[in-house]
Amino acid sequence: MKGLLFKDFLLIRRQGKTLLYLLVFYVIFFFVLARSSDKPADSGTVAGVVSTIAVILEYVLILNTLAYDENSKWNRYALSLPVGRNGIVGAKYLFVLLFSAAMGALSLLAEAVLLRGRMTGTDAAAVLGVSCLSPLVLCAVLLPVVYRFGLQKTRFVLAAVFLIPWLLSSALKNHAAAVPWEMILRFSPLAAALLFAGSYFLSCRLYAGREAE
Amino acid sequence: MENLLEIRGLCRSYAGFSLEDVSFSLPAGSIMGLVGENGAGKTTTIRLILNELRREGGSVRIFGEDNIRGEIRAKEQIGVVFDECCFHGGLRAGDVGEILRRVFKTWDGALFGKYRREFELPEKKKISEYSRGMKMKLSIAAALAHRPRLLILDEATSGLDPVARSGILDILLDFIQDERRGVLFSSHITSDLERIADFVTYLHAGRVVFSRPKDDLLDRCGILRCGASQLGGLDKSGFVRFLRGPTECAALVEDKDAARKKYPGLVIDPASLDEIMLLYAKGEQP
Repeated sequence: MKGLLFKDFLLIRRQGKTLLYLLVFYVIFFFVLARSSDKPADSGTVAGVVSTIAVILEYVLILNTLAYDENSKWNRYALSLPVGRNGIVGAKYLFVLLFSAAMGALSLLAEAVLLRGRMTGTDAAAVLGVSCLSPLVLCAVLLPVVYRFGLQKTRFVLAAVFLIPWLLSSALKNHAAAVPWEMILRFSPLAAALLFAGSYFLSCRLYAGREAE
Repeated sequence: MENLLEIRGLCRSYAGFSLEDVSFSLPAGSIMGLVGENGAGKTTTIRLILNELRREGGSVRIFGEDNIRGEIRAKEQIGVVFDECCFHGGLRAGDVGEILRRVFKTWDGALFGKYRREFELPEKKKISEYSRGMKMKLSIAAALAHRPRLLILDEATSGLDPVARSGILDILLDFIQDERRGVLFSSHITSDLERIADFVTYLHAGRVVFSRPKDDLLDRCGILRCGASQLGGLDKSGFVRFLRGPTECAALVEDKDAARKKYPGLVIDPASLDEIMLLYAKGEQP
């Protein structure tokens, strides 16, 4: 499993650097903007911008590793290695987990820089929730479908997965005050962890029944 | 002699194709050529051996153990080369070594480096910049560097020029010098198999036509040639298959020496694997 995990990190290495530069650029851009406007950047805006960029970055890179695997016929090769089907699935979930955690930490750091030490606990939780937990939730939905049907046939699910947060935010737009944000923030890590674990077991079952292409 | 691979009654069907009752064994110290036309079932057989596909009947034993029950243990000692290089083009040879070092317990980095230098594979060059021959050599180096006992190649020489193919065949001959090892080599390039195989298993339309020592096959079998007008008057009981042409006919005979005695006035040539395959695939049964 370690080898497969290492392979994914190698694959995103080059693109990761480019996208990381992009993230650094946005951080510097907002930092300069905040300094020039006499008041610290609005925490909600900063958290939103940094986390959104982080999530896009995570999505692009995670999906790229799946696409690379499929295009290079790696999946068939991986089945010839002494890792087992559960090992193949497990390596991908572990990659998503570690990468999301790393991006969460990076987003937190970026926000701390932007807010110039005025970061509240809620700001930190919001950044972590968006940049770390949301990729876990979205991958928890996406990966079982990928392991059942393959990435090529999963494009429509991808679109749906991206629509879910947009639909949710639209639905809650006029009722923001009534939403129990504190409770959601408190329980979301546990809910995301349960969903992610459940998704892993489901993917293992689905991949066990799927034949190599 | 110990069998590295034993396949008995292997079955699998798809829409429009079925692999039926496939049986053969690969003894240690030998190269088994799995030969057959495109779509004969060679790749399906290999996929079933590797448990990439579910079998519907029969058994596959690798190193004496069922291939599903002992899958991980067996795969620690198997090297596999497919018809395409399965490493992403953005990776480099050095990356492949680093990945597989973390996969195989018995990975030998020094051996991988030795193969890499022997095959003239630049460590820092991207795989996407390699030629097809170099990619296949990288796949072979990756398959050999954990010192497997069984090497499985699925059409690994297809699409390569003769020089690159010859190089790969030399590697296989070198690999088999250790008699505890074996190679299962699927190909439709019969000249490759004639050069290196100890045994030949011929698959046609999902069934094993024969599985026997190559030397026995090529030494014994012959092709009888006669004019179209002569064919009708011949006793066809010694023919395995025969093919009618507009002017000339050819028949596959199991024992060419016996056939020379039986048909003294006719030409009987040694049979090549190509001709044997052609006659089995297109010929009539007597």
